[in-house]
Amino acid sequence: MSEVILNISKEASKDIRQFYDKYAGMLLGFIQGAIQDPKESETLLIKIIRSFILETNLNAQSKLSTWMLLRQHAQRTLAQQNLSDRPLTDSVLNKTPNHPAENSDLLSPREKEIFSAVYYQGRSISGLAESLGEEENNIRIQLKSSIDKMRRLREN
Amino acid sequence: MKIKEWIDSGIMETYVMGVATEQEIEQVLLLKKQYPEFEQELAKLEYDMEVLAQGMAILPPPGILSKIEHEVNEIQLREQKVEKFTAREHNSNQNDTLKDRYIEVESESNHMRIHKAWRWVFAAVFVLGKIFLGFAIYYYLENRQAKEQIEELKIEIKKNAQTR
Repeated sequence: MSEVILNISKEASKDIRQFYDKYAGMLLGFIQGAIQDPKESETLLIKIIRSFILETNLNAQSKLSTWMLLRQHAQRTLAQQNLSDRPLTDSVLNKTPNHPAENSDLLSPREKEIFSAVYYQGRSISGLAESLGEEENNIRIQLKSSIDKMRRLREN
Repeated sequence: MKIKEWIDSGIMETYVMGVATEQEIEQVLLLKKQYPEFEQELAKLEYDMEVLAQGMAILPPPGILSKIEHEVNEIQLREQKVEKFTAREHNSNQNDTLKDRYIEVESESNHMRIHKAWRWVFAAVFVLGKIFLGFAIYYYLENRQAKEQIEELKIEIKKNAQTR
């Protein structure tokens, strides 16, 4: 769309494009991983980026990285629409496009479950511990273990 | 707890995943401030999570960016209109004292502002109009009566002339 007919300044438009180029693909991957519906994911992608741009200063300094803030914003949006409550099974996680654990036995089923619940659904450690009948510390350790395994896989 | 134990505890992961409790967030921020090693590990984890997400990225279909720009533009335009309206409302409130001296006269869709002093002029014109109308009716009736009397007199004179 031409910037001439846009009300947003040229500078702001440039910021939006840079932001979009960097994060839109990552966000779409995240949303699709959470809701498993490509068409709905695209609609949500527009909604989430639009609200993030309007609610956040794209150049502002924060304690967390932009991606972390954007992912948490997406988690909240999905939760508001009750879209993140869908159960995520091992097979769902394995089918998640480009997922590091895809088609591999890198993570144990419990690690996949914990990672998915926290990463895609933003479930709390205490809530997970209660629903899985495990100690909070165990959940925290298994979450760390799943992330460590994926980080190592990427490094290799 | 030693710093290595904090790093291995999984507190960094819960923080980065956005599921840390208030207490854990405070702890992480404190450790980050006190221990450069912890701060470095946290930054590395955030970076790695971003790289993992990049690995899981899906290329959005064309046209998404223009839709976002269009929607952002529309919302900002709407907000600007609301801001302008609010500012105008604010100004009009500030000028209330001045505004009190005027009465609003509506003419179709446009408004005209007239100084309140004119209402006395309008009232005077109205009252004078009524007085003139009264006089006009009075003199009209007087005139008609006089004409009738003249006619009667003329007939009487004619009658008198004929009898003589």
